[in-house]
Amino acid sequence: MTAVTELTWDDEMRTAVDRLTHTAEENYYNPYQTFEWPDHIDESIPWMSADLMTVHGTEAAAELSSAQRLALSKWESIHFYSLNVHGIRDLMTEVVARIHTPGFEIPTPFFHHFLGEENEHMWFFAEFCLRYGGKIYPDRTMAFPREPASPVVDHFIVFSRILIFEIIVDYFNSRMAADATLPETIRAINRVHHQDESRHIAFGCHLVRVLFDRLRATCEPAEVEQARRYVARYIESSLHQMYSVDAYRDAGIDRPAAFRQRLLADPGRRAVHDAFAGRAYSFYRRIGVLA
Amino acid sequence: MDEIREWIRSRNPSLTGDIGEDDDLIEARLIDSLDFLDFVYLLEEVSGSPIDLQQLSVDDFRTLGRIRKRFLPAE
Repeated sequence: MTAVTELTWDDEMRTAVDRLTHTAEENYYNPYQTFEWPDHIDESIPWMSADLMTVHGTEAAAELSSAQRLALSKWESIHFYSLNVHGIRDLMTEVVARIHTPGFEIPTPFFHHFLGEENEHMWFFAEFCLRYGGKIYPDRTMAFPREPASPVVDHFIVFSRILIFEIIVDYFNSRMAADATLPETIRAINRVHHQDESRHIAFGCHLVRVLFDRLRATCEPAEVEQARRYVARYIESSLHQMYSVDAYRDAGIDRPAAFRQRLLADPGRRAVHDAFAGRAYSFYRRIGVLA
Repeated sequence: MDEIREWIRSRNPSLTGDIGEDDDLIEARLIDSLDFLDFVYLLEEVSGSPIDLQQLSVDDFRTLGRIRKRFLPAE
């Protein structure tokens, strides 16, 4: 079988693009005037929902003092928005490389909204980190040479990376937007992000579904297997990103790298990971990528 | 350096034979973008120093020899 690079989009995709573009236009808001930015956020209450923290469900959690737990909730919160800043830069770069290029005529109208909204999300996440954490945690990823693959595999992997990132982040956003124990500023940025991301995730699901159908129809079995393996590993890698040695260090935890290893190895985290990525696993099983 | 070798082996169970000082870890995909974060954290722990990725490129991690020279000069 020879790899065919042309992309074809079905009616379901066209309808989704029209609907999501219309909704994005109707719901357009000015993020620069949307949020209250108080001078300080109360550090005597948690900044992240307890069940979203990386120590949740672990034996190591019991060894932390209440002051360390509180500090960790602040720094894991800052780290989560820092991850968003870096993740958004990565996904915007990939979409910019494809907008108004041959093959992407159908999704391009929504790409404009996607890029505009992601730029705004990056702004308010960065604003939060800089105002209340005094920093954005550095990007811990590195650009590696891409494994040689046909364009459709490349597109599938890129849009899967975007979708998986958005799905996991959205789990956090939904939870924190609804958590009345958190400071209102934190609830607000999570709420607004969740509202926009619902459209981006719906769009991403259609895009990835069509790309995988195309991949299966036109690529060698080895490339299909490469794509499957990548998705499974990317989900796991995204979950590992939540465990930040830098945040543990800032929370005053001894031997932060060893602490991270203990948390990752704790069996109590398996069910938590399944919950964070549950929607991604379901989606990829439904379209036939994962078994 | 033994910890680095052990980590690479644990991530690549099908790997047989020794990992040479000049073997290209990136080309052979023994380390890739998806497990790079875990690798960097291990390297920080072994070296005892934080690693600023903004100042580095993938070439700094390409072989065990370069990793030793760049991050573990005392070994």
